[in-house]
Amino acid sequence: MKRFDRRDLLRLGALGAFTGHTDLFRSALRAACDAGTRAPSTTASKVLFIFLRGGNDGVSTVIPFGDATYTTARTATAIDPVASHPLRGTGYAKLHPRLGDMLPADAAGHIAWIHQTGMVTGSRSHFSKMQMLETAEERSEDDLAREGFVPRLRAVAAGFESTLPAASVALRMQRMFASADPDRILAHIRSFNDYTLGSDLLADQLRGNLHAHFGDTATNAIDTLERATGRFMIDSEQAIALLRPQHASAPVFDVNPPGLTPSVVGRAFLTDAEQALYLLLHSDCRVAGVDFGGFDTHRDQQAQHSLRMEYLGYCMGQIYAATIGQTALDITTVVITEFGRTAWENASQGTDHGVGALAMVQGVGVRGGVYNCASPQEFGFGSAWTPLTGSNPPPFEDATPVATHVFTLLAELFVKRFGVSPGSQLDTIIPGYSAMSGSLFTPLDYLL
Amino acid sequence: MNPLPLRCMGSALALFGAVCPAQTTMVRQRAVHVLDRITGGHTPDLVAQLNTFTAIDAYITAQTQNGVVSDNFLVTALLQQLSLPLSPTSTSIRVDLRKALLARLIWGSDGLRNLMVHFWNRHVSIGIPMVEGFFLSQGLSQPEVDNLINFFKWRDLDYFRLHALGSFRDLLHHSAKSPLMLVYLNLYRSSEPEPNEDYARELLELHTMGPVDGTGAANYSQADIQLVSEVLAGWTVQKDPVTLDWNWVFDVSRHNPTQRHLFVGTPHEVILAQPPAGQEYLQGEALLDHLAGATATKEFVCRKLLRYFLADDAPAQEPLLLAACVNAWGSAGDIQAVLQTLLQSSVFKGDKYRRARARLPVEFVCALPRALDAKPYYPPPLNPPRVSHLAVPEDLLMKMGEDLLSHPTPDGFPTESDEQTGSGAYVASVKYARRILDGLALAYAFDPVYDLATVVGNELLPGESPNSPNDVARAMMSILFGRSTPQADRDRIRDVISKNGSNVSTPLNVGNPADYQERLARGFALGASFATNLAR
Repeated sequence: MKRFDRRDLLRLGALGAFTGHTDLFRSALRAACDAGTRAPSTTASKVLFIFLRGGNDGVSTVIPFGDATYTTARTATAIDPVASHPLRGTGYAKLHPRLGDMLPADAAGHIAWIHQTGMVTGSRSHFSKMQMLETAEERSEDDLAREGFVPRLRAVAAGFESTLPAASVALRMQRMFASADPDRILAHIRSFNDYTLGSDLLADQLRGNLHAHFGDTATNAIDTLERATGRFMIDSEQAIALLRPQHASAPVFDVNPPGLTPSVVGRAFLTDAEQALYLLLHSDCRVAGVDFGGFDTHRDQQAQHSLRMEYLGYCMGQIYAATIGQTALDITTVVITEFGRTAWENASQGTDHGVGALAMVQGVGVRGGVYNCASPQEFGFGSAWTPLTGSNPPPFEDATPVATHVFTLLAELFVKRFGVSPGSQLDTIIPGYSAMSGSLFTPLDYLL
Repeated sequence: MNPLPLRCMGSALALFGAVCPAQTTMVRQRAVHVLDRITGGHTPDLVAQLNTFTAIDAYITAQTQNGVVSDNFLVTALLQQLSLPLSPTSTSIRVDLRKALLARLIWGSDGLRNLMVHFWNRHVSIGIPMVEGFFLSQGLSQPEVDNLINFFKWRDLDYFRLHALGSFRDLLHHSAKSPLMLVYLNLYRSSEPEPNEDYARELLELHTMGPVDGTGAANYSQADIQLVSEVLAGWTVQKDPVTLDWNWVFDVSRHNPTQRHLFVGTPHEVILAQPPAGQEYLQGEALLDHLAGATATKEFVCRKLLRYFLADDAPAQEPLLLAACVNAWGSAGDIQAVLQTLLQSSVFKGDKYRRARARLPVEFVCALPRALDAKPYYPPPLNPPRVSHLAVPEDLLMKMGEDLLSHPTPDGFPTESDEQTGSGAYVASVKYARRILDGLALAYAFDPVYDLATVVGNELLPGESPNSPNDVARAMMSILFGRSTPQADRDRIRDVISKNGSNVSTPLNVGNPADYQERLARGFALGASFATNLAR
C-alpha cells in the first residue's frame, strides 16, 4: 500500500480547503493516519524512556549493602536491609522494599540494574545535566545543545516513517524529543483526551484551512518552526483520534489501582506511562517518553523517595506484564535520571546533588543482572562497585563516581535496537561519539 | 468613554497608509510590535494612539517609569469581586489568583509592569505542590493550607509588582525571605553541620550568576555551593502566634558564625566577615548584596532580558546592547534603567526582531481578547464588570504548560521559542482560540452589547462593506496582526465566513446579527490559529 506522505497531505489539504471538499480531505487524512496507527509491525524494536526528574538516589534504589560505609553514610535515609528484596545473581546489593513488583522481571533475567552511570563535566545542575543527557551532548553550560537525541535518531534510523514515529507523553515536551528542524518535529501528547481540535464544523474548517496554511511559505525561522509543528499537529491529532475510542475501552493497565498510597504526582505518572505504552503497543510509534518528578530529595528523603518507588515499581511491573507476551515487539523500557545523589546525607535528612546514577533497563532482550555493583569476588557485569567515600577528587566529592558514561548506554541502545551504524550514524545522534575513548566508554553489552 | 474617535483615527491612518504608505505603515508596524512586546498585546485603541514615532517613544518611557502603581478602574472593579487572600486566616474558599493575574495582563494599563511581574515570578520560580506538605504538617487543614499559600503567593506577586521596575537587590532579598521560597528550596530545614545545598545552588545558578560566564568559565565551584549553604544556614520560617502569619526568622542555633571566603579565583571573589554576635544573619544579607552587584549576575540577568524582549539568540547577536544594559545595572540592579536602555534602543524598536520569537502561552492567551478589544461582562445598568463570567480560560493556559502561580521546577517556565512549539501546545492554542470565540459567539462571557460586528466595522476602510467577505477578511487580519498579511490567508478567512453555521454558502449579512457574529467568531478562531499568531 502506498503510504501518504506530507506532500500528499498538503496537496489534498489545500484541495479540500479551497474547494470545500472536506470529505475528500478527511478521507485522505484518515488514510494517512491509518497508516500511522495500524496494527504495529511485528519486528520493530521500540523504546519507552522514563525520566526520573530531580536526580534519583540510586544508592537507595538498588542498595549496595555489601559496602560497609553505606550504614555509616546513611542513617535517616538508610533503607532497611531486612525489608529489601534480594536480587538475582548478587548478594552485594538488594532492591528497595517498594519495588517488589519488579522482581518477576528480575527473576527472569529481564532487567539490567546499571549503577554508576552519568556524565563527568559541568556543575551538578539539574537543568544542565538533563539538557546534556537529553541532547546527548556534554557541552559547556553556556553553550548547551537544544535538539534532543530522538529527532536525530529518527533522522538516521530506518522505520520511523509513520505519522506518529515518536511521542513525548508528558506535561511539557521533553527535551529529548524537541527539535527546531522542521523535518524532525515529533509529537507532544499530554493526554489522548486533550489532543483534539473537536469534531464539529469549526473543527473541520480549522483542520482543512490550517493544513493548507501550514504548507505556505514561511517568513522567518520561528514561522517555519510553527508551521512545521502545526502540520505535524494536524496529522498526529487525527492519528490519536483513531486510537482514542479503543484506548478508552481497553487501556493497557489500571492507573488507579487500589492499595497505592495516594499521590497526585504518582497518578499523573501512571496516566502518562499507560498512554505511552499504549502508543507503542497499538501504533507504529517507536519511541515514547514520560516523566516522573519529585526525586530532588534534599530533605525528608525517606518518605518522598519510598512513595515514588512504590509508583515506579507498580508501573514497571505493569509494563512487564503487558509486554512479556509480546516478545516480537521487543519493547525496552529505559529508566534514567540526570544524576545520583551525595553518598552522605545532610542535616535535613535528605541528600544533595551527586554524580553517578542508577539506570534501569527492562525488556525481554535485556541481559539481566546488576552492573558496576559487585564485590570483586562476585559474578557481575561491568566494573566492581567503587566504595562510597567523601574524599573523592572533583567532580565526585561526596558522590558516587561514574564508571560508565550514560552515552555508552544510549549508544548500545541505538545500535542494537534501531540498527544505527556505529560510525557516522551514531555520531549524528551522539556527536563525536566515535572519538570518545577510555573505560567510561567500554560497552556493557547489556542488550542481547 | 466612547472609543469611536480613536478608532476612526485608526481607520483614517490605515487609509492614509494605503495612499501614502511608507511612514504610516512603518509607524503602525512599530506600534504593534512595541505593544506586542511590552504589554499583553496590541489593542485597537493603543495602536491608534501610537500614531507617530514620538508617541511610541513616549509610551515606552511612560511604561518604564517606576512610579506610583495602581490598577485602572476596570481591573480594580474586577479584583474587588475576587476572594483575594488578604490575610493568612481569611476564610474564603474560592480564591482565584490566576483570573486576577490574567485580568491585569489583559485589561491593565501598566502592561510592562504586569509582564515583568511574571518575568520575576519565573526567575524565582516556586512549585506550589512541593510546599503544601510542610504546611499540612503544621496541623492545618487542606483549605487552610490552600488559603495560606495563596496569601503568600499574592503577597510575593504584589511585591514583584511594586518593585518590578525597581531594584534587583530588593527583589532578591524578598525572594530569599519569602516563606514559600524558604520552604520550597528547603532552606527552612538547613542546619549546620551539613546544611542542605538546595537553595544555595539555585540562588547561584538560577537567581543570580548562572553556572558559567560568557566565556564558559565556571562562576562557582561545588565548594562555593557548600559555603553559601553554610552562610544561609539558620534562615527559616516561624509562625506569628498573634497574626498567624508566617515570616522569615534567623535561628542562630543552626548557624556556625565565622568568616567565609567565597568564589576564590573568580572576578567576584569575596571575603564575608563574621558579623557581630546577635546579628549573624547579616552575613547572608551581605552575600545577597554582593551577588546583586556582581558582574556575573548583571550579565546573567541582562542576557535573560534580551532573550525575553528580543529573541533567543539576541545576547550573542547584540553584544553592544548587552554591554549597555549591563552598564545601566549599577551596583544593585537598576531595573528601570536597564529596561529603558533596552526598550528605547533602535535594536528593539527596529525590524530585526519583529515576530522573531514564539509567544509564551500567557502572551498568546492575552493577545486575542486585547486585539479584539473584548471587555468583561457588564450586567446592566451600572453594576461593575462580573469576574465570574470572565472568559479567561486559565485551564487551557495550564494545558499549554504554563501556570502563572506555580512551576514544577525552580528554573521557571521557559521562554525560549523552541520550548513553545510542541504539537500539544499548538492543540491547546487552537482550542483556546475556539473557546474564547465560542464565548463571543454566545455573548456569554463578554459584554452582551459587545459584538464582533462593531469590532470589524471599526476596522473597515471607507468604501469597504461589512457584507463583503473579502473586505471583512482583510479587516479581521488587520485586527489580529496589525499589518499586511498573505492573500492566501485572507482568502481562507473569507471562505470560512462565507458559509453559515450549517456549512452552506450564503451571503454575509450584517443585518442578521446572530449569524454574522457566529461567522466572524469562526473566522477569528481560524486567524488566531495561524502560525503567524504564535509569534511575537
